[in-house]
Amino acid sequence: MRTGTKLALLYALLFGLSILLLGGASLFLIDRTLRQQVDDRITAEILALTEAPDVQSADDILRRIVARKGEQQKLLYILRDGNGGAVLNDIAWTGSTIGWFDFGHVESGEAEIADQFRGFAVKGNGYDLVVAEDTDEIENIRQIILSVSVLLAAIAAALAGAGGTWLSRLYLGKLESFATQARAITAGDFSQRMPAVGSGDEFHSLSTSLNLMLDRNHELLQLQRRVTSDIAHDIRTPLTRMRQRLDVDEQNEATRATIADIDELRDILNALLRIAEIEEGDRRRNFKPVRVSELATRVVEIYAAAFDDQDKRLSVVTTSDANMLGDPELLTQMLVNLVENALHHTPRASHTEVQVLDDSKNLLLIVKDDGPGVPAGEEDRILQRFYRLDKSRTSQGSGLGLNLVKAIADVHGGVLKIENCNPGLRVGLTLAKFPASTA
Amino acid sequence: MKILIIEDDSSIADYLVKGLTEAGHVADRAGTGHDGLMLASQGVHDVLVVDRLLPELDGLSMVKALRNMKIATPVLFLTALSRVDQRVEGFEAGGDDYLVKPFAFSEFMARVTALARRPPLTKIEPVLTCGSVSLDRLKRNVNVATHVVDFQPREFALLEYLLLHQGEIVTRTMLLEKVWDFHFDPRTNVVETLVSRLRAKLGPEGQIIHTLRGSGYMAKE
Repeated sequence: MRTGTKLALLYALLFGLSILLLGGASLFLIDRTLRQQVDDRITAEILALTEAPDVQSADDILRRIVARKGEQQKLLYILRDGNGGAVLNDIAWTGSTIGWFDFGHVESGEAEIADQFRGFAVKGNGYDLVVAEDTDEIENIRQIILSVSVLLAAIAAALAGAGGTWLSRLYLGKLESFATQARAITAGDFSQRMPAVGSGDEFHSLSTSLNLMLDRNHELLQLQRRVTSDIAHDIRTPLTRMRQRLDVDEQNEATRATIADIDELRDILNALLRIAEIEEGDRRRNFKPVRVSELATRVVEIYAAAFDDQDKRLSVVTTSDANMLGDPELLTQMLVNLVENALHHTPRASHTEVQVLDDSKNLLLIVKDDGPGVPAGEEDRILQRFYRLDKSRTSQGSGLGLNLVKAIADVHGGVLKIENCNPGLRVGLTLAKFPASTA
Repeated sequence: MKILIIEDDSSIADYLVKGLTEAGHVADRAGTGHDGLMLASQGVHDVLVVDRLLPELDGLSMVKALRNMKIATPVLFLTALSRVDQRVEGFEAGGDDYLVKPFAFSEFMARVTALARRPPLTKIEPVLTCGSVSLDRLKRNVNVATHVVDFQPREFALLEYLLLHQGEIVTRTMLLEKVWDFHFDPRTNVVETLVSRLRAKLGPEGQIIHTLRGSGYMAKE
């Protein structure tokens, strides 16, 4: 469930429950007060009717009731004389309780009318007296309070839900616009900035701080680009002059060796600059859909002959035609480096296989050989810059090949895994499919 | 050929001029972008060699200005800047080829020659021949003497490129870029491997592909 919906539901629930709670509390208090008043009235009436010293019979009580009738219109009476003969009979109560009682009476007529009474019965000297009051009104008030509370709670919940939705749209929309921009920037468009939302509020402050950070990052990136360009220029220019001076005399053994050294320096510099370029990350701007199986087939087609010349075998197995989003030039260079690595580090008669597989979400590019592998525990170290298996450093190559592979895998969001298979080395790269599978 | 070198590093410029002169060409030079633009705008050169980083007016802007003046002289960018976007910028500004420093003179010479002899876009020869080898670019087949020889697509592309530049030196790097679409230098000599396969398939006619030690290859009868 989206955060906006969740917040709106939560608001609605909280507001609705609050109103219901408030209604319940009012109901309880009002009910208690009203009932207390009824009891007070009845008590006062009983006392007024029976406490006087001259009350001797039902007739005395009756006289008093008649005299007081104007004051206590709500009260109902049952009065019997000493022989049980009814003098007054306002309600159809036939109980024999002494003290407080509640009485429900159903009057059968055209429509059924339910009546609730509260009463007090006393047995005096020569009379039975009951003073009661109709409590239906209290019941009615209870019903009204209950209905109003439920209605108010529903309205409050609806309003809170709508308000919550509106508020979360307002604020989460701002957050979402931040996320959209952040994705664009991650994808390599470093000129994008966070939207200027709000004025003087926390969002404005967040947007300003993020933009300051992005500006700073952008400056650093520019600086790094300038530094690498300067290094490229300042080292390549003297290398060019050196090489030119030697070009004239290519027959000389020492000259040829020096030229070879210069070319090696050039290769190392090229590889370092290339890694720096990739790590800057804005190459993602050139990403497009790449069919990895085609790329693998092409690289294997190019290298099969070179393997063949050394009595080695290179083959390709593709079971996936899926695309990924990437830079075809970089991906080619990455696979070439992996294949060349296998070519240079496996003995005669070895077999190297490139595999392209997939599952529901990911593409898997694997280069697997049956050569000697790498010493146990060194699997991750071989990705480091200038790492070489033989410590004498006499073998060919800059020692940057696998580091470049790592940089290219990283810029594509791939996960690189190196395993010893005993025999052989297996380099597996997991990459996200494009378009992302919905299966 | 008449070549204009626009390069601010006098040592490199001197050397290129000397090399071109020794090879029998005429070489002019300019040390700034403005001077270069002035000389190039006369439109009398076969190839312009332009450094990317020049005083006053940088190489990219200079070539853009030149193209705006409708001067189509082929441009070889010579540069220490090797980023992919920098290479793309070079082509977008109107450059025709791109050579990263440091380079061997033979590489430079091969590229200048290829640019100068670039056939006009309108003229496409469907059949390329050299000795008794004939390559049909439309039917995509190769005849050696009277036999049809079966070629893999990349072998065909390699032979096609060599025959298109008959009599010219074609370097390994040029082939990597044009036939393999590799803009990096692989450790393995895939070019050499494919050239030997190609020679083997051509049989005795394989001799039309000459190896020039340290420079590259050339198709010639």
